[in-house]
Amino acid sequence: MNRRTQWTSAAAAALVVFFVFVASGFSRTAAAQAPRSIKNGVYTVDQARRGRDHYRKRCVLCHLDNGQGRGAEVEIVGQSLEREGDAEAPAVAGDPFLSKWNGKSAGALYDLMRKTMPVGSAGSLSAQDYADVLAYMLELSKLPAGQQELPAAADQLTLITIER
Amino acid sequence: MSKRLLTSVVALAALGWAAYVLNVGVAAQQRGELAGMARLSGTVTAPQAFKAGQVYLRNVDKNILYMVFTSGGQFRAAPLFPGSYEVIVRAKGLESTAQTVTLRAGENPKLSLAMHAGQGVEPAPQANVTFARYSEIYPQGPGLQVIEQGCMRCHDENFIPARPASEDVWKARLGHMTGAELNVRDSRAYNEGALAGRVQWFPFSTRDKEEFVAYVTKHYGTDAKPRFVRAEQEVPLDEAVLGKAMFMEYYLPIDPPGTGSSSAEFAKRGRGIRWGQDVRFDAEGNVWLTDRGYPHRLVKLNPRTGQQKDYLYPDGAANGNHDLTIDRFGTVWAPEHAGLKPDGAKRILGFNPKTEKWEHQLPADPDNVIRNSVKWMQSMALDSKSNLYVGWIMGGAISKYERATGKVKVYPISERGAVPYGVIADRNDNIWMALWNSGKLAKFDSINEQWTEFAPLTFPSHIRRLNVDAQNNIWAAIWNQGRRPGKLAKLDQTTGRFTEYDVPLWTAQPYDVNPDPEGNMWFADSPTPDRVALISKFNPRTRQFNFYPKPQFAADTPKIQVTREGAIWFSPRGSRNQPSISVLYPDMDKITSLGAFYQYGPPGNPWPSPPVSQTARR
Repeated sequence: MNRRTQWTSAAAAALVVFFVFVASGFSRTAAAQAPRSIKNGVYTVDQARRGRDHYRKRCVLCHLDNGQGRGAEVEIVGQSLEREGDAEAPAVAGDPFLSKWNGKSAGALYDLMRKTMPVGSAGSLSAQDYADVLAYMLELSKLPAGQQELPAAADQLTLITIER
Repeated sequence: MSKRLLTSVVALAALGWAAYVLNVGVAAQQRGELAGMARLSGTVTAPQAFKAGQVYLRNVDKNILYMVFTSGGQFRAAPLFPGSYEVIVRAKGLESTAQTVTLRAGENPKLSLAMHAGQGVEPAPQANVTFARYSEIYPQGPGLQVIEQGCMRCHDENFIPARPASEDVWKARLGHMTGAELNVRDSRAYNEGALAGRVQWFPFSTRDKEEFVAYVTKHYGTDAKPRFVRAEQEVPLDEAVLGKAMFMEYYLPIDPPGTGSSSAEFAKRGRGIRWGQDVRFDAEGNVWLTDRGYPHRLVKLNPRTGQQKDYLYPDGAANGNHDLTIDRFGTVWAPEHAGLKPDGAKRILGFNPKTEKWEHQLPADPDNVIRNSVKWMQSMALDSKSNLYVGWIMGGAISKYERATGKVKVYPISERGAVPYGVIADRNDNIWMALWNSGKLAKFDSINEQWTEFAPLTFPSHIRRLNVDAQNNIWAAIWNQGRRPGKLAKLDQTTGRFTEYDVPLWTAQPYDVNPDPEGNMWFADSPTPDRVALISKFNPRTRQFNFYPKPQFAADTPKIQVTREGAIWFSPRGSRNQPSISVLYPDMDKITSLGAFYQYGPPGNPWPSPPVSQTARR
């Protein structure tokens, strides 16, 4: 093989690699931008772990260990109003949570979290932290993890539908 | 007989005749009001001994419940509205089947009721909760002292073991109480930061925190089940006293499906039901109630007919409600509380019953004196000039609405982090507040605009409501603490000396306290999971306590109001099924009117005459 042929072959191979790389990236982007369900492995185990750390520090007071919310607490007779003024804390995991959000987008939930949570310090986490907490909520809800992280962008999350 | 003596005798006779005529007139009027009423009496039997059986008589036409007690197996109830009744009797572990009876005016039929084993007066057990002795739930060890001397000064003994959780949650709860986030944001609830560093009165050092977390994680951790402390003492009941008493409950109508508290907008707010808070009387004998269910309402009840009317708050439930008061001009005042917009700008609202309009919506902190971004009002009092004072439970201040100028001015309470709960006016136009966060009483001298604080013998503690008796003594009810009962505290203003009286009931959790015309002190007592809610009486002369179990076992009551005849009005706030406006008549034979009137006349400032020496106090 002369030098020119060698160069041509190398250039062709590089071109192939380039196209494969571009195509692969395109397909990843396309996958990320295609409508999906939370049942399709839309977060990673590592992301949920990061989210758990934030959850334990910023969310657990009101939404409790497993995301069951204050509604799951035992009512103490005569003290039903002892915590008047405390924020309502709905379930953020499990059946009650999935039923409430069934058919809505992960983007809507992400927006709500960023605008209202934690109560009194809304928006005090980073965009990535909110996405990580959302991933942990999905893990608490026994939804499967996958290979890609939940994006920290509402427009992309809008393509992900919450389903029971 | 001399002429002068004769004149005197004639004058006395004339006076006597006038008094007789007046009395006859009043009696006739009262007889007229109660003339169309009925009575009912009967006997109750059971296969085992029972004490003070509770006989429930529900007038199904008017949706009113009466409850009387048996004494020696006998009961009687009067006066009752004519109509159709369902009658049932319950005692501990015993109950009868329901009987129906129709009562007509002037009748007094007799019923025989037989109880059998059953659920009785106690509610059905809660799922997933067990009861145990205090010593089992709270074993000795480091951390217990912190709980008993810190947490339990406000929380009762069920609060912690009923909510097992991980160490993360317990740390977060402790962080909430110690105000862990308050260096970067404002407090969002009046319990947040109650244990914050050097501004609080409770022992809670770094070591205390560590021992607390270790103790609760060990005994009430993730693997623990919710538990309640079993009440080990029966409520002392006096059948002879209870046999004269009668409760009435005017049930609030349930909203039809899809409307009001069960509408799509509000069904998931609060409890999805109506929710009575505080009661007050107007000059016509009507009883007014704040309904904190969603949407928020004022309720006007005419007790003589049972007729009710509701009035929605101007912004639905946006700004919350809590207490109310009525001034001498008839305006119903109702300051805004938390609501759906807890950080909104709150107003003092005034409702005119004549026009049925909210005619006053006063900015309550016009100069933004309170720096916390979240601020809510709660209780109120009126001085002799009808100036209105409103406590900021979130904000630690009092707003004064000065009648003469129409201006609102805010006075911060001197104690830092103060959480003022009840507010009352004494005979000298001092405004007194119960400080929920420490158990102190704060006095605001409305003439000199000065604060003075008083610490009862039991300090720090948890006080919610307070009141003044006819001698100008200040009374406050102190919540229980761990292994000691609740107390009533009296401050004698002439000596500055406190006296405290233990309630002889281990689980006593006294809330509001209120004098009757005979000088007895009445107080509402919150229930525990297995101890009935009570209205209780303390006679300071004999130091005797009497306890009256309420018709609704589990319904706590925050506020009581006493009439000139000694009837105790309240709302069973904790009611799940029968929110109502309720009254206890301690002696049904002394009822002359179903109307509710204050002792010294019209509502507003509670005292009959202006302060004695306002100028002298300047």
